[in-house]
Amino acid sequence: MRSSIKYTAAITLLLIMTGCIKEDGIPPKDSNYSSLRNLIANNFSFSLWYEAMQQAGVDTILDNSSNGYTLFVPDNNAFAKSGISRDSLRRISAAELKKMVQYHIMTGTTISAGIPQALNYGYTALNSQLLYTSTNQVDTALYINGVAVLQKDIMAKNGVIHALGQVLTPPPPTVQDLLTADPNYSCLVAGFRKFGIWDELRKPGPMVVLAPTNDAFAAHNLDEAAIEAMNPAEYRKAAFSAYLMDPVFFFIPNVFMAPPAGPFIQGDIYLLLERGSNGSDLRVKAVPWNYRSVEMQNRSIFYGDWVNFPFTSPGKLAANGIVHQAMDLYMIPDSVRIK
Amino acid sequence: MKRITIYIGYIILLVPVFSGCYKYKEPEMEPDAAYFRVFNSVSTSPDIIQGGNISTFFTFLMDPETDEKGIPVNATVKQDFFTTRELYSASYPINSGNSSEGHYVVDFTGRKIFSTTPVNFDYPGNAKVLTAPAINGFDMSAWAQVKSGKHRIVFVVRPKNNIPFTDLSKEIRSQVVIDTTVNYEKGEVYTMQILLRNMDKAEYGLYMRREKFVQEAFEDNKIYVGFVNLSGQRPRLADLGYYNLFPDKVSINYSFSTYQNAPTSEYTPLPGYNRNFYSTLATRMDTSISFMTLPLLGRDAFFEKDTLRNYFRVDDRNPLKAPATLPYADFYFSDGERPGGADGLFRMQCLANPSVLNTYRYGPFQGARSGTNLMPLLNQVVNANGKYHIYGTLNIMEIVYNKVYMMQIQRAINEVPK
Repeated sequence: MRSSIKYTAAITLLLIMTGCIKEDGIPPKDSNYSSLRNLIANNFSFSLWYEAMQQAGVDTILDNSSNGYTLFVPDNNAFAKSGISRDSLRRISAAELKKMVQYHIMTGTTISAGIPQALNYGYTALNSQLLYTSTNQVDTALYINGVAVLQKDIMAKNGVIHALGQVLTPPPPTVQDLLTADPNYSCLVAGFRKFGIWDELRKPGPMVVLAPTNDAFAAHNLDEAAIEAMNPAEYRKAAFSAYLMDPVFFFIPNVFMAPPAGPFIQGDIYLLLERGSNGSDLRVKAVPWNYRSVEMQNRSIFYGDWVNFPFTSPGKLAANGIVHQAMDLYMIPDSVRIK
Repeated sequence: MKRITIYIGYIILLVPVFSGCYKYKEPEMEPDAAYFRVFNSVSTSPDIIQGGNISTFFTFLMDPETDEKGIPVNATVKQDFFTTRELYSASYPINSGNSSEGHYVVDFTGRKIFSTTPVNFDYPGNAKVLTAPAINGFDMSAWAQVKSGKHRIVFVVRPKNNIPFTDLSKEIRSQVVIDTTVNYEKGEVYTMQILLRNMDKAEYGLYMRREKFVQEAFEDNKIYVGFVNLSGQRPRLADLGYYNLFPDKVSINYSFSTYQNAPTSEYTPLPGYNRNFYSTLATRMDTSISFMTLPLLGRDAFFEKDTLRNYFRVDDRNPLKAPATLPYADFYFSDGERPGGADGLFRMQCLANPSVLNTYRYGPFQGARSGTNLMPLLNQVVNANGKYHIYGTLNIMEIVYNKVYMMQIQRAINEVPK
């Protein structure tokens, strides 16, 4: 009887001594991931992207076995949203397509946790142009050039994929190039030339142009000819300089990751930037510097009404700035006519 | 047979006893020690169109090891998850015991806001390092020992998550905002802070002050208070009225009041301590501080029939709460450029309980604004061994843009003054 107690005690003690397994360190990284090629070739929603890569001859990187690559892959919906179909994809020249595809790729495996919590942090893409990542503690979603990443960290054996909601376009050298390339902005270009602002758009920047379209000008009875006929001496420069913000750099969806504490001061006017009433756009209004004074505080419109910029339009990027499309004028030139 | 079994029993018992614990080596005292403490006094939120767009969450590294590209990898002396300092900090690690609930603050609606990440408010804070001994009669256990001489100081902006610095990507580790070299002299005490030099351009700087209070002679029966202005360049929006900040030249007056039960129940300033002028802080980033003196009052001021009098309850929003009755100091801030009227712009009342001040967000000093801002009592009231001890203190008040940070250094008087 007594010996059985001893044995039990001895066995219990032995169990206590050996009961825990001491593991050292973190378990090794799971290397059972599929390869980049497997992931992309077998995913139907990446089929257009895969075709683009093959057509551009960039798909060899999918088989790399070195440091890996980070791919920002627009899915088929993203191509559709950017107006690129299978057909039009085939008509893009090989050189242009290669540049475009390479702009979505960077060397090394960069998972989302490895991206700094900062706005517009620049990474160099394969075509040696800059890609801007934005994420912070207010909005932990990841944005690439203002385009939201739909799914982060699709891990592969030899890289990582982040799925994008829109196709990225490699940026031209200056904001001037962006504006001249788009016939929708011919009125704004005419105004910038007339008021001596045009050359500023070639400077290194950074800058943001909140660009009203020709339709926006037409709504206020202005066309290219009318702007050509304006005499700059009869207007304050703000008539057109209000559309250029300098020096700032932001994508519309990222403004609320770091909301402005006050207005942006541009020359002799203020630009108010705030979240629109529906919560999913940014709205901008131009006001005079004394808009909060006693005689002004009950007035709501000075130069133009609020103009909304939807979060879904990331803007067009150039190497020295961004162009965001405005559907209305927040600075009506006639409101700053010198009487 | 029986004895053998007993021996085996002993052996089985003793093996786990001797092999169960890992014996940590005690760190060795530094023979040529200097002492230092680090704060993060940056409390701005990111703003995309003016000022920076990074968060104010840092890793502090001393003499970091770097990789071949010069990017910091690790350091033996470091403070990770380094967030903006709390309004009140004592001269000993008040955060050394962590709450089982985690760190939280209580906001204006009474809701607890938990921190989802580890946070450190200063270095050494609750780090397990050797600290300074009592110097000049002050409790200095919030200053860490370091070998005197030159040291490289690096601050890196880090994401607000719970990944330790060494596991962060090299892109994140290369976001260095401060990289400088400082020189510590043997036996000296240093307080260092990361500060904004220019808010519009998001330029950071390191402020280092050699603490002279460890050499100065102080009287036992007094409380000492000194102010220093550590604001950087005034932001453009402040002049336009979008921020409420302390003026460039801060003029400070002070009163010291006690609660009188008769003839009416109210506070009365002590004779000679009614809106006295202290100083106008004409320069910023000063490294020498001149102290004002306040009396260390007797027992009656702190007790009413052997019961401790009341603090102002920052943890209670009910307007019908018990009124405060402890003696307190008041500070009045006004613009040194526009003299006239001691009421000035802001008022700060040192009447709160320091142990809860940092947690509650509706009573304490919220920033430069009209009305009364509360900060902790200038006397330290400590209940130990069933007895209250009232300590005189030395207080360094640091004005940073719109906030006043209070560093209270306990003076070793271990009894209730007679």
